[in-house]
Amino acid sequence: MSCSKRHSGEGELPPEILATELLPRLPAKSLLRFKSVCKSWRDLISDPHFIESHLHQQSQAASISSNGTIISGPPNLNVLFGEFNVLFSIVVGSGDATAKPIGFDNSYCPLCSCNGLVCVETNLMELALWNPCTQSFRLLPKWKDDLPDLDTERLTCGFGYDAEIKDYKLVVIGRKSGRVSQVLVFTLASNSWRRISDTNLPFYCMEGGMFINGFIYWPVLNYCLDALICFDIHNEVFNELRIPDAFLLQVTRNEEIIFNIGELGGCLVLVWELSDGDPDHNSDLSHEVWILKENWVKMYSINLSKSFCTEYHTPIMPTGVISVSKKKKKSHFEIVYASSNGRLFSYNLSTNRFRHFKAPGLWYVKSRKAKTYIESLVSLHQ
Amino acid sequence: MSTKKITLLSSDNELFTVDEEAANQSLTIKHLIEDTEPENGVPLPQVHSKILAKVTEYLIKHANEPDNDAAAKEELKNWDDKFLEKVNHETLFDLILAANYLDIKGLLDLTCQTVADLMNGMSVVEVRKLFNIVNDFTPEDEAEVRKRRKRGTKTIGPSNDQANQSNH
Repeated sequence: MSCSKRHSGEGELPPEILATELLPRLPAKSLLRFKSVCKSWRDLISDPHFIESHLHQQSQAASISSNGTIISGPPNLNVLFGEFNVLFSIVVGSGDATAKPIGFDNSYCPLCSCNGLVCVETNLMELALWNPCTQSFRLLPKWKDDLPDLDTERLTCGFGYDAEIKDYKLVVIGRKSGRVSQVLVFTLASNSWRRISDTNLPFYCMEGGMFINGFIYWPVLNYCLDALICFDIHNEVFNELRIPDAFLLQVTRNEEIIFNIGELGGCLVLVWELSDGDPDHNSDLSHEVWILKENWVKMYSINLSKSFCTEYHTPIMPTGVISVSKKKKKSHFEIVYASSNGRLFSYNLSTNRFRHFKAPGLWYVKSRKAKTYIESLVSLHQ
Repeated sequence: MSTKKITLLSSDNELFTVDEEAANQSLTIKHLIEDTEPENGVPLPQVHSKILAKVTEYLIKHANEPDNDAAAKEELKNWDDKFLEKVNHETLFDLILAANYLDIKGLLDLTCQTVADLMNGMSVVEVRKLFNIVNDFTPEDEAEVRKRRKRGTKTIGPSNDQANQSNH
């Protein structure tokens, strides 16, 4: 690509440096603006190969080195909260974080997100995919007829990218009687649904799954399963994933378990509230953060004092894990929390300090499990 | 440890001497030394002395990158920030070209990220000026883009969905 008319002057860079080294570093929003620079930039920014390398660059920027220190982070990482009929995004970039609606009408509920695409469900149980950044929207074909015995109260889904076939897959799990669940898979390129083998894993969960590195994970843990459920997106099989042994006792004691999953640098993390067996939470609370490398490794311990918990109304739910980088400063991790009275705050794992989110409009967080979302230019029309 | 010195020759025939370890961060220089074993300095006809001075400054500083020392990493990062602080746009672009030609990944990352951060706060007009790009859109094209963007800022739902799908 080259711009047809140029005049000599200070800065000119060869097109290949622009396309491979420079522009992929810009946030998706800026690139959308810069489509207006000239025709060749517009064509480049719309090119599927460029979109892929941009996504790769942005995900890389969020990754961490093996010893747990952060090299760099993207300009911001958003956390999505679905609330009634608006989708909120907390942009944690520089300065204060504010939750703001990113535009959605009707009763859409965000279920899961991957590579900047968000899967949403309507109140009629229709499913759609949406790229909030490019404002592209696609209602998916009807799927309910393919799951005839569905108990409609129990629908779970997960959305991810199958790198081997370079296509997006949405998996819908519908529980029917007993413990057997029927499973449908939608692929974006085919624009169609197909049934795969039933699963007898107990999906007592209406949460959307979290896609990390080829697998979708669901925060399912209950009295009949002391493991997380994961789905291999390429081979389309379900598996159980053991949780750290340290937490097993709590599950077998059949206590209410407060935990969530998140992603750090391409790895699954588990945020878990340790229980001292006291149901009234009269003592300080501690949360532990574990990361799944080859095995589970404990990363951090977080202490929530009794007075803090009283102020915020326990239980305080860890809603998400985010990587925050301020421009030219070292980046760090924060755990986002939502308290049961709907206040949002985050805990900085480097400084051990809390900060509050201003969240106008987000007065009560219904779904307290947020999804991390990275802005991308990925097209829904492949 | 090797302390062999390497001499680099700029396009305007200025000589720069650095340790081999520093020079080897440039894959281009490394291969030139391996292949040709030049006696009178490695000729770099595409790099002016003004830019090569900056490049060698970077190479010397980054010759011994700390692996696990967090404080040293932090110090190096601060040095990187200062390194490009007072550099004008023209020099910045020349450094990108030099880092690309000399195949120095760290310097290419640093300079491109600096330009990307700069662009992020710029308007379309400012970006055109920075890259010397002439706007080749017709007024009709621009009107169409404005119209589409206006429609895009509305909240999305099935009603808009039809409009979006018909575009493809």
